[in-house]
Amino acid sequence: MEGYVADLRAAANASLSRYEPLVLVAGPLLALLVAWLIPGIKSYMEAEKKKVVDKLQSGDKSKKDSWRTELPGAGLGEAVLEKLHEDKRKDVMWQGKCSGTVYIGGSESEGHFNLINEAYSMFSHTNPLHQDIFQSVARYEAEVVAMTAALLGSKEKSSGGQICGNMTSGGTESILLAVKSSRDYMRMKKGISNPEMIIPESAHSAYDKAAQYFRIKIWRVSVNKDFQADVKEIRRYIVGSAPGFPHGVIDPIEELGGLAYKYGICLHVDLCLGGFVLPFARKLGYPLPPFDFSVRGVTSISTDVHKYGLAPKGTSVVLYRNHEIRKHQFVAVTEWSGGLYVSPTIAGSRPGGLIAGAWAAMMSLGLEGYLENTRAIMEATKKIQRGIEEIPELFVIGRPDMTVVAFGSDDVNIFEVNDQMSRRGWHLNALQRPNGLHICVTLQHVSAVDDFLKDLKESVSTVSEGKPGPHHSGLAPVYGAAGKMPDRGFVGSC
Amino acid sequence: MEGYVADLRAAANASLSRYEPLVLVAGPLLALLVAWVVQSLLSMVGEKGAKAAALGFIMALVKLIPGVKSYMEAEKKKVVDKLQSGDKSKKDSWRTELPGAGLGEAVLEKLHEDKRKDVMWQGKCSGTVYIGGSECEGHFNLINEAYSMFSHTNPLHQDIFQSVARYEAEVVAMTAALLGSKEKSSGGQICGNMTSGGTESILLAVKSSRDYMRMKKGISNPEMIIPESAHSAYDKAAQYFRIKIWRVRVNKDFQADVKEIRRYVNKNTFLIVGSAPGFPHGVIDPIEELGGLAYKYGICLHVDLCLGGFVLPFARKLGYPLPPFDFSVRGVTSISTDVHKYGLAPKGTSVVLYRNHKIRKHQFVAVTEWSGGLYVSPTIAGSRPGGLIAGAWAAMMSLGLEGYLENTRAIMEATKKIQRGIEEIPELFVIGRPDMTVVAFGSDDVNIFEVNDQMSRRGWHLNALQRPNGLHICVTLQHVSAVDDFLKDLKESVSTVKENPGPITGGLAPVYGAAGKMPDRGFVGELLIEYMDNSC
Repeated sequence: MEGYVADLRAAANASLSRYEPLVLVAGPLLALLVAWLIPGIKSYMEAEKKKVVDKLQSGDKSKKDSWRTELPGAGLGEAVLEKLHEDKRKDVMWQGKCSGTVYIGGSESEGHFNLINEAYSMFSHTNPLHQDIFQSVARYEAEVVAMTAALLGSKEKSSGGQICGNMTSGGTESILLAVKSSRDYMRMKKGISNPEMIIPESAHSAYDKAAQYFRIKIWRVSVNKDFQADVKEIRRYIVGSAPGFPHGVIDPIEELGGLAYKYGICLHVDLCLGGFVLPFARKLGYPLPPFDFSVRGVTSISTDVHKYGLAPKGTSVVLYRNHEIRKHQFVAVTEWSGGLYVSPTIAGSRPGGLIAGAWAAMMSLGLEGYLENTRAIMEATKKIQRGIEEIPELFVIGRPDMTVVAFGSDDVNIFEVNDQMSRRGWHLNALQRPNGLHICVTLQHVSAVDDFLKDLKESVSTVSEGKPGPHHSGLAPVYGAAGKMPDRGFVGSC
Repeated sequence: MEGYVADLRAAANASLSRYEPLVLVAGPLLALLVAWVVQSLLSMVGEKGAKAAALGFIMALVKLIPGVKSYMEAEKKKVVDKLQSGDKSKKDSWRTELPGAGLGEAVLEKLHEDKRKDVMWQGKCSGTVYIGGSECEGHFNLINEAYSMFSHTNPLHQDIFQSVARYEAEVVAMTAALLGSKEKSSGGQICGNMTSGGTESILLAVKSSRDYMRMKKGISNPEMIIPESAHSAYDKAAQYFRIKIWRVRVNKDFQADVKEIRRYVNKNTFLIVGSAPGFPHGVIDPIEELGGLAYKYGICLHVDLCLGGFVLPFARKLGYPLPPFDFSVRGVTSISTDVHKYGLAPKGTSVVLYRNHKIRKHQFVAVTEWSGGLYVSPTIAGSRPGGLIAGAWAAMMSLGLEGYLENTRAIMEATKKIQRGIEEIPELFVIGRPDMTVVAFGSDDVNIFEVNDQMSRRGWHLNALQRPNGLHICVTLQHVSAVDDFLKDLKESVSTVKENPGPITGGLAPVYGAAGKMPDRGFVGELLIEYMDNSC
């Protein structure tokens, strides 16, 4: 043993003798210095992070101090409604000014809004958890699902005639459930116990949520030059969107389907945005590639009724190729002293009023109503696209297939353009890779196309005419900074 | 070198030549097979516990006998059909395609018509509707109007819908204040979010605790321990989030058994759970003892106040003797409470609270690699109905502390009356000691599920419990004026069953009875899923 230590010592000395004594002394000291500096770097980064957060919340702090933190002693009774009216009056103007956000046209206290609010109110006491008691709502849910499925190929022979699904609280829940069901289905079928899924860079952030929640490894792969899922890059559980939220481009669903079929894995198609537009656009004669259950290999689809379906917020549908896959969505509990329990979706109790609202929206519009709406927003979109193409500093990103137009610029800082648009009351979405903005066109915008293009032109020229550098009132530095920051974990922890 | 390899080869061949060639080929394959079987057995035992795994193994063997599997499938189908009695033909008339021309405003008449045909629920359902009075007057009207005023909003866009963002923050803060956030022992850092309901609140608390403990203690094979009485949402969380769950038996008072829970704590344990009260029997778990256990092991403790959050703080103020149950207890790291139950808010509103921001941060999901921009989301849903948040805020502000105190007094008194009434029925006994507004009862003399069928015939919708078999009623404002009717019907139902024991046609007693006794719980689970698959 002693001999061994001696050998080791001799070997170390021999190898260190290559260096000059100075290096041998200074090296460890330098290393310690660097280690000591790192906490300093950390606190510097914390301070920078705080600055960015404060900027994002500009002025929120003082406002928040006045917020209520305890129940009033005596209730306000009916007078609370006046308070609500007052608050609402003070909210910012959103009519026709926001990308996406409100999909129903007209005023929020008239017409279609009134209709779905009344439907909600009529059934706000209901809860589909108690399906034996609230039978109408149970039927509404089944009919909303069936009517939606019929739009997405369930009546076609190639679908296999077994399409089934459920209503959920929104696109994220639909995607989460589809991922969970696919994970468990594949576990049963192929014994995959370390699940991985592959999604294009353009696929919705809900898949990242699913990956974190359900302990799934996720691969976000680059899109091709047309901003479509790059089939070559993708090979387990895969995802396509029709269209993707960032650039409004439809992924090559048929090719993805071929890939999924070949490897015997699941393919989810995200039609959250497109489900209540594409089927009607196709009927109107717009040239569209296939995107639904008519495509072999597609195993599940999500689609939001609360977007272009014009239903109240909190309504979406998840659909499956067949019952065998969907069964893995359900959770059955047999060991609870509260009784036998089985639950189809994430939530236990659910607001039946929203389901009644969705049913009322679909029934009151009918096929004709949706066709008319689709025509109006598709035309508004094309006008916006042409208008943007006419602004020399801007270019349209990809080839918009539906109602989302994304644009960027090589000449001006696009996020400064966004700030200028915000000053003019617009709320657009900021994109990255490449940096860009998009507007998701809804019925709210049909009469606002000219205003939008006028403001956009002005904004671009304000930015290009001068005042270089960031405008300190707005958010451009944040978008710019975050887009360039190499440590993405830092961005996440804000 | 080459010579050495050649020597080695020769020696191996010489020693193997003793065996016949078949053995040489099959041996390694067999060894692999055995290893595979052992590994999958071990992982199954690890996942489900030894007893359930052994049972599953035996059942799998039994199902290999020809005919058994198809017999079981047929039995399953029979049960499912029974549960859905007559649903099938009704469903055939349901709509499967959009109407060509929309109905426009006329759809409202259809809704009215459908609603008229729904069954009577007023005052007849356990839990279900917590707001008193008619659903088109008074408080219902108020929250519906609040909803309608803000139904176009979505807190996802908090820069646009600033009122709703404030309502959410205020609902959370007002709720937290009821649960100890203003007390010094809370640490003054309580924070939280609104969610869509009790299940989401529980799911988020479990997810945040899992990730917090992973960061803090490096737990990568997370396990949680819950009492048998804890809500089924934890099972959901376990399945969703790939967590091992231990459901352990309760003590003789139907409370969480702290000693039993301690037995299951190991280095992978990240969470234990208490309820105040548990849904099945309305009994409050010993939160202080659980807090001590969690604190000692440095793990998380979630307290489920989904049912109790808007009753217990008021009941305490009214002088009911109650053990501590909130953030004033050391060791409690998160709490869930439903505003849409006794908070009298619209369905779809609940609150999840955390001891501090460090834990809550693990609730959020930040996405930096999406071309749709930087994204961070606090809860499960992305878009959320702002109208429901406005409705919850309106409910809390319109009632105020006084309103809740008054409501709590009314339902606590109604509950005590029901409890006394049940105790007076000689065939029945009350399960445990109801702490709040849930009364569970069983019987040694009659089949309690047959009593349930009799109650159903009389228009009641109660909850069926197991271990022990029982029923419960969760008392709401709807029942305050229905106490006498309930007791009268219950007495009649008991004597009907006593005089004519045995199942009635269309009754579910045999199904519940069999499902409770069946040893193969996996089969019962399949049955439930089959049922759900057929009914939605």
